[in-house]
Amino acid sequence: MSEFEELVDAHYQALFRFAVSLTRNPDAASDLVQETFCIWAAKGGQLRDRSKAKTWLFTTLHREFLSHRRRAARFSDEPLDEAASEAVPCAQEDADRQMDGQRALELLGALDETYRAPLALFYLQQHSYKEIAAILDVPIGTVMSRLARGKDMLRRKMTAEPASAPKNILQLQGGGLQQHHG
Amino acid sequence: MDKEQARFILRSFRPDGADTDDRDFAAALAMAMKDRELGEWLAGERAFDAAFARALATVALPETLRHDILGCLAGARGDFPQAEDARDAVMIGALAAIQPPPALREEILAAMDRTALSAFPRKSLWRRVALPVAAAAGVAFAFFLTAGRGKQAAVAKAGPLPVDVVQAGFIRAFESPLFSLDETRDDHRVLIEHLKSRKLPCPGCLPPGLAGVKGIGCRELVIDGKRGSLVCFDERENGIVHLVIFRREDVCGDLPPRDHPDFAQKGHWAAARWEDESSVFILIGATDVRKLASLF
Repeated sequence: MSEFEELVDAHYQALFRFAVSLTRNPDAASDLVQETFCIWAAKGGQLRDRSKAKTWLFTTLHREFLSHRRRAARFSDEPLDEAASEAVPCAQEDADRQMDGQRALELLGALDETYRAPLALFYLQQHSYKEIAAILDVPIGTVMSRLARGKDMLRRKMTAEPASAPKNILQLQGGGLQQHHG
Repeated sequence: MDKEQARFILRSFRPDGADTDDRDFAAALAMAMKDRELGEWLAGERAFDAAFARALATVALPETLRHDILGCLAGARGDFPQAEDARDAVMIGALAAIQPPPALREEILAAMDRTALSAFPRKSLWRRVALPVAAAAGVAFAFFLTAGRGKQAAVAKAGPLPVDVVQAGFIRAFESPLFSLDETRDDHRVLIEHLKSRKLPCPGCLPPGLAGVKGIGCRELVIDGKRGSLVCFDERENGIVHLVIFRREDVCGDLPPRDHPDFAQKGHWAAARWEDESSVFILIGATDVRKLASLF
């Protein structure tokens, strides 16, 4: 297996999930991930410290997303969030678990992007809050604030919209969280 | 630190415990262990976070995503498209190894000059037929190599190449069934003169261990539109070793000087990489990297 394949295999799944959290559109997310790796192919050789490849890839993907969004905003009056919202395909083997993933994306997607990006990175569990700050190019304290506020918003969304939740959705009970089956 | 501050800090604590050893969380975690209410809040917070993280991890990936990324990478690196099976790979490798006639480039450039000088140049029948055919073949070949890769292919031609891409390009060319040398001599000087005559980059100074080693031959090596040189040596200890030389401006990234090259082992290939003011060098052979290092 080549070095490139190893790099792709190590990170493409988390990158896709981050991308789809940002774009809420699986096709746009796939394009974004591909573009990120293409940029790596062209410029990744300049990264001396290979241990930083993961952070580099997430940073690049986020920058590309912002860049696309700026371009889209320049040429269209349609709000990007409305244009982008599309159901994400789910795995076939476990219907209940798919619903959870879809619902998680819906909840993240309902948040302002200011909170969506740090929360998605936090829940992917690939990066510490310091690394998230580096990826998003914001101060560490800002990331902590956004995580704290973003989580509060998530909880409010979950309690405010229980009717649309699938049967296995996570529901808040007594300050904690339990899974309901069936 | 009060409870609210501890809560604020612990909200950035990852549910899988990856931050347990992070000293920034130590004081808040210690407080949660002593304070029952804070401890219960943290347990609930981590349960919520863990459940949400599990849910996010179930988002399915498009089936073709990995394949598409590798295809896109191949395009960006100037590699072959992903081969569907072994026969495709052999065919693609064979086609990519075909060298154009040595004079074709000069003839095309000369023809372009003449075209620019005169709107209606008098052309021989050969030129009227051969150039469009060559151009059409070039377009068809480029289409064949880049079909399905869309916009990513454009990235390949932009800017200098990473040294890894140059190294992979050499291996690909060498392992092609149609690999050949342009000039075969044991004398380094003859080989270097040949490269000079083709206006290709030449080794200014060989690693000490190669000074008395017999040459095998040399050739032009074109990788993603960049022209470089390849000189092959028959080195006793390491078997055949290959010196790949590209112009400095065609390769991106910094490399150490020849006295302290970067050594790397990748599969059965060992490589030493360095640079000087004008060129980037890769000495590579199917050997052990420690043996290769003995040449420096």
